Amino acid sequence: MSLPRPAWRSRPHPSPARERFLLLLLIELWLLNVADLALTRYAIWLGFATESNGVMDYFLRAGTAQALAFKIGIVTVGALLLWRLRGHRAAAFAAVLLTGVLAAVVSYQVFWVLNF
Amino acid sequence: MPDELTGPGAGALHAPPLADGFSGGSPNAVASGGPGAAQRRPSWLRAFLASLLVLVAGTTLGAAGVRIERASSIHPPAVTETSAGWRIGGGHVRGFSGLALNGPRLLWQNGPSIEYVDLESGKLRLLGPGPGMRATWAPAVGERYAIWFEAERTESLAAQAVAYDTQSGRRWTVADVGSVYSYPSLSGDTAVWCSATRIGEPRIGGVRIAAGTPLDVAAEYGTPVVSDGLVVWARGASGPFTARELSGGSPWPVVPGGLGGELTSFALAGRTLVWGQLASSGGPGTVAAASVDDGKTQVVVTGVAGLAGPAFDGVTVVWAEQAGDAATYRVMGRRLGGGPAFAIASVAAPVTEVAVSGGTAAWIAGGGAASWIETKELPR
Repeated sequence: MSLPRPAWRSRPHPSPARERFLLLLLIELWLLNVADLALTRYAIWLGFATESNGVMDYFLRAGTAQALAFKIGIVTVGALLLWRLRGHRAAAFAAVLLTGVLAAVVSYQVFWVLNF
Repeated sequence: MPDELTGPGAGALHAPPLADGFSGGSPNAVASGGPGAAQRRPSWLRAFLASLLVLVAGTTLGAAGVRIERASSIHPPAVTETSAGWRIGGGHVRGFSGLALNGPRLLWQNGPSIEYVDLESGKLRLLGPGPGMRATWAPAVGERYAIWFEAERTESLAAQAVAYDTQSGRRWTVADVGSVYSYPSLSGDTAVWCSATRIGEPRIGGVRIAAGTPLDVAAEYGTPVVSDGLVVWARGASGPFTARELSGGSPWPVVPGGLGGELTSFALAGRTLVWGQLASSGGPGTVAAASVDDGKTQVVVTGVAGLAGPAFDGVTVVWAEQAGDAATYRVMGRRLGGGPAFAIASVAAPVTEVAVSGGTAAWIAGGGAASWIETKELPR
């Protein structure tokens, strides 16, 4: 006997093409995350920006190694979680959203530094 | 979106697991799209291009964000090249003041903003105030660094000295100033000013910017200027001047006796002090120069109406004066080594401040939102 599947829980739909797409998005997300940290650190060093995320601000004040460990750690865990859920379309959708938003954040910082 | 990459049917709800043509049998086999439907082979190239599209969309969004932010919240004045130099004005001017020039580095205050133009490129940068700060004081600039004060408000007892490195583009808080009594003066990496960290106890001090080492010059009120290791300060609005070497020793009076009326401005370069002084309030002014060591004084110009300045870079004294027709002002110069005074520019508005460095003169003309800054090469 099996329990009925809750309505909110979608059925996995494995797709190798989507998996490739998801994998590339997660790699890009991870690289963008490193770039975000580097650019944030640089902008703070320049003295023209402050970290408005309280959690990241705490780790940045603690030191670059701590900030690096936290930021890379949390995104790696998130990326692995999405990869575990790769059979679900929602995982790819979430990866698209995260990568798009982080690309916007990183490009904002790049253009800000270039225009400065 | 992802499923479209696999072609029709790959994501069909009722398709058996892994029945998309890649888990067994022929890769090109028809899977779930119905009889005759072709199954596209998953491609790394297509996946890469799709992920690239996400990146491009995000990047475009970020670039648009910067553009919108700059257009809506940052309103720098226009910087235009003229036949003789640069003109800064128009656009969003809230009133220029605090002109500082050293080589190609020109700084000023625009309302509470500290703005900087590299005269070699014409590129304008907004240096201050920093996050959370709303008040700034007139900046000073040297060969490499610039310095100014920032605070949450003008009456603050906790102002900070902020330094900017023109080479690296970095700004940082270099010292706690307390209550501001004078603007900073800068020579090399030595900045001096008068401030009070305790109420009613002004001191002349400063900082070595690169090392962040504090300096203590004198436990009294004064408006100091510095050149190399020498500090000279005016003890009041009409002097007198006192000098002291930063390396040590006792302070000494520069020009003994009373100087007369209110000082308009004064500058120190090497061992020579140049100042402007009004005979009476609103009356004609005199520009004079004196050796800090022996007090030997030389009058540069006298009987000047509407005196603004002077500024001095070690070679040329620059000041502004009202012309005979009263509506026109002139920016004037005279080399201290000899020769007559010469006109640098004629300006159709009152000139409020002048600066000179390395063969270039700069001045602020007009007032409030209608003020502008001009630079011009000095005639040889």
